[in-house]
Amino acid sequence: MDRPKDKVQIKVFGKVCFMVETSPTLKPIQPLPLHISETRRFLRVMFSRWIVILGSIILLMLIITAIFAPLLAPYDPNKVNLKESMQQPSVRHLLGTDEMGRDSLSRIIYGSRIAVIIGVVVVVAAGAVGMFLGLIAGYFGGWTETIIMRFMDALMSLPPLVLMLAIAVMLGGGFTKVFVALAIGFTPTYCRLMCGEVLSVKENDYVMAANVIGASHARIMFRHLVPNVFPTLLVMITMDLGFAILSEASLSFLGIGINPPTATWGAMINGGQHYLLTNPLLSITPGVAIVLVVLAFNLVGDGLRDALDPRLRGRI
Amino acid sequence: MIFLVTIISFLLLQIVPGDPVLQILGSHATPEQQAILRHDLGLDQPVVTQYIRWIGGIFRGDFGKSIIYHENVAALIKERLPITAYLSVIALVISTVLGVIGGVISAVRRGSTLDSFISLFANTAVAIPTFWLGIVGIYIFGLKLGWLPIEGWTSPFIDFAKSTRQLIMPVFALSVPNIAIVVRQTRSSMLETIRQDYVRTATSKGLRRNTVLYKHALRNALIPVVTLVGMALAFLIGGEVLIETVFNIPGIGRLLVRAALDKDYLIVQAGVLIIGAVVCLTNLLVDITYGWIDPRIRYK
Amino acid sequence: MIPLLEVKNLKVIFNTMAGVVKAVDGVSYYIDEGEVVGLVGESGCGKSVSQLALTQLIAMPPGEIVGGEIVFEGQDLLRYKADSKQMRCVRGGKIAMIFQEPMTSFNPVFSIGEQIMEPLMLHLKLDRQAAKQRAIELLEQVGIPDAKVRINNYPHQFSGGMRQRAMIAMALSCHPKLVIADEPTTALDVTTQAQVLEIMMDMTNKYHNSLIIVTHNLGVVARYAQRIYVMYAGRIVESGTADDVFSDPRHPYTIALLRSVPRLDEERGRQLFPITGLPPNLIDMPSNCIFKPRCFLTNRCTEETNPELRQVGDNHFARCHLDVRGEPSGIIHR
Repeated sequence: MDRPKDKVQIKVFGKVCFMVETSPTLKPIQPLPLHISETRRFLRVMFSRWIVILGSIILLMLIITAIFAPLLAPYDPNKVNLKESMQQPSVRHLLGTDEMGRDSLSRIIYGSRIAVIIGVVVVVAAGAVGMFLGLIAGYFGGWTETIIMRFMDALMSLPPLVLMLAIAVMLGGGFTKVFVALAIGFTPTYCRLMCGEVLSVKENDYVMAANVIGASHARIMFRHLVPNVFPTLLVMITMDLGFAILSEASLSFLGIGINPPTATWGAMINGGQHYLLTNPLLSITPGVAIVLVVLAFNLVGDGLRDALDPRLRGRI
Repeated sequence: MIFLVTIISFLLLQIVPGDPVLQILGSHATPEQQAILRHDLGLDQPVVTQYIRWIGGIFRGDFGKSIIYHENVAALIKERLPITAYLSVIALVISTVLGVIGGVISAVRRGSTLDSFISLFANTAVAIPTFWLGIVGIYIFGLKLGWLPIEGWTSPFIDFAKSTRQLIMPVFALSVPNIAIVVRQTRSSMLETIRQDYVRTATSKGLRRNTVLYKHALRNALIPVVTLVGMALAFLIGGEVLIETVFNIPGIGRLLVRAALDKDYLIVQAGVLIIGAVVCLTNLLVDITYGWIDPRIRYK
Repeated sequence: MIPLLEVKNLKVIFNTMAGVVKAVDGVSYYIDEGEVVGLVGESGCGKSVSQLALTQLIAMPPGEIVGGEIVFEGQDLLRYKADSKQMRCVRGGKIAMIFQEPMTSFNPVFSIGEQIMEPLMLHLKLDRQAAKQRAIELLEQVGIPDAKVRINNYPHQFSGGMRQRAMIAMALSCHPKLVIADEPTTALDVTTQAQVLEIMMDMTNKYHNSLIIVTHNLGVVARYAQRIYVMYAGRIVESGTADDVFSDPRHPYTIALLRSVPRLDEERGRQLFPITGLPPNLIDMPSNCIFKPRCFLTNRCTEETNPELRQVGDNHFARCHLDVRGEPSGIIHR
């Protein structure tokens, strides 16, 4: 800022002491906050813990495995070969074979595809529907809000697994029905998140926007909503991706959902139950895969949370 | 609230594709037989009426007859509910106690190796599927080491020792993810509480560090953990369903799964309703307790 | 006379991700028995930290006391470990603190009475009955009506001013030799401020303890303090008796501070004179005078070193290269 060179009267409590020349510009010293770019800061905070890096590597491996499954798997996962059934781990079959002679390793690799697809589709669907409903509930308020939120509360009060189980079964088995069931199970959290945000934004800007037409309502809300909800949303999505995989595994384990012979990790654990004495790996290895993947999602989600909102730091 | 749960449970019935009548009678039934059964079951009436009839029946304690088992659904549930409840409560108590202890230690000794270990456990355990843990447990402790029985259920009233031995693994498998959740919540709650001004005031009065932590900080830190208990129960019941299947325990969970696979919709409806009701009740209790322990709410 | 408390060259740092923050950089002051001393400065200048360091209440992982001596009643407090018996004996019993935020400084799940009784039972070894009696007396002394009933109330049932009074009662309960009031009135509205200050001074007179008032509000210390220390960026830039500092300020910062306060007897509509610029970055401290960027006499000052505290009068010191003089600010009423 430019100010003309000035003679200023220095008054102490009303009485003039003396006159000084003020310098035209007074440069303030750099304030305390870091002055590296936002992106760099984000990356630095997120990857400051080694376990977050580990989690990210695992996720990367998961994605690569899922995409390049046909290249990575040594055998066709569904190829039945009764002559080689129930083999122990060997050079030819790194993780052994199951009761139908199918190579375990290949089945696990292909299972990653299903896991990723399930995770993504379920969370995206749940997120979209949930946020949409939350938006409506928050925006219109009144009865709409009450009905929607109460419904969500009721959904949430059921154990998620029970809910998903019931829905999945009632709809019949199969790929798509499982998706719907899982998605319904994950929807309430997103709905709640969105509704809460909308309500708080509404409270802030409503007065200001009171005499503005409806279209501006939408724009104001959008501009305030997105940055507020984004960090929590991102973290939630990441974690839910992992939990969706876990939930699907639980359903497959129970025999609901994806039909054999498609290899999902949960179904593999189920199948391997009966052969624990002869080939325990059949049940154990898919479980390890699940643990690693879900853990990775959790760790990355934690890293994101640290980086996006320092206030949440210190909470595991 | 419970009302809505009933609606949801009922809706489940409505989305069933396929015809339960055909299911019962088999595909060779004549149209007359179908019509009779349909009338018996009340399926020829409009949806709302069916719902009202069902609710009415519930108040009388009548959940209808199971299609597959040909018994009263209510009786089936009554047999199984206590078992599930027993298991769940034990798991709840154990996981809460262990979780709180772990979380507090982790927060108080923040940054130490113990803390890192506990935190790592907490992060990992959430990712472990309960059923898998059960199976691993069966393998290691049941088959390989032969220490514990691998399945089955005996009522504790009949043979307490045997019952407990059988329950060790299921309870363990069930609790582990929940312990992790409680540890996480307790740790973060405790860490946040320690940062509060009143903890500094307590220290400035000259109190011992232990007094400050375990008298002043802990009581405040536990308040949010209490609300977690309600959610934990819901989570545990979900896990129950899996554990009962793995360990062959005749509880509601296993009943529900079998019924679901067999499309025995009345059981599923009733089961979902009961479970939902239990969770709602627990949450209500938690809310009341919450108001009781936090003076700010008590004296509003 | 040996001062009750003498702080020599205290240095406190904080290890942050951005670097090492020198919150307190060589601060020395003293207080005699029965004196009231004011510690004045803007937000972030290190005044609160310097007081918390006395009883080692600073969070030690990021914070660290790296130098100096704190001689209280002849003993160097820094030799005691933070959680040692000696330190705990001093806290509350010999040195008590009154904090800024009465809302959050009380534990919400315990009654006010319970929290006042704690130090009584700990330091004075009273039993519960006696402690409760004493607590009721204390509450009455600080002007809380209906003390017998209110002693069982919870903090959220008190108003801000009453909470601060209860805090005062709690601090003075064990007859400490030194009471430190860290911004005691900042969180209160103006009328309550006056009341609380009166109570604080009454109690001080009654119990004959020494009092350090830490504040950014000059009016508070002008009225009550006998001596004043002015802090800036972790250092003391001027010290002297209240009379000297207010009527004959010798540091440009003090002068600017006094100038920035609007007065009732000035002409209306005159321009306000804030101090331009921002407080300095405590990580990257320059090697010359820290106040230079904001100093209105910066053109006259050609020195490149950090000024030391120079004696400019009888028990009056200023940290400035130049010989600045300000005008009297008015008569200080006591």
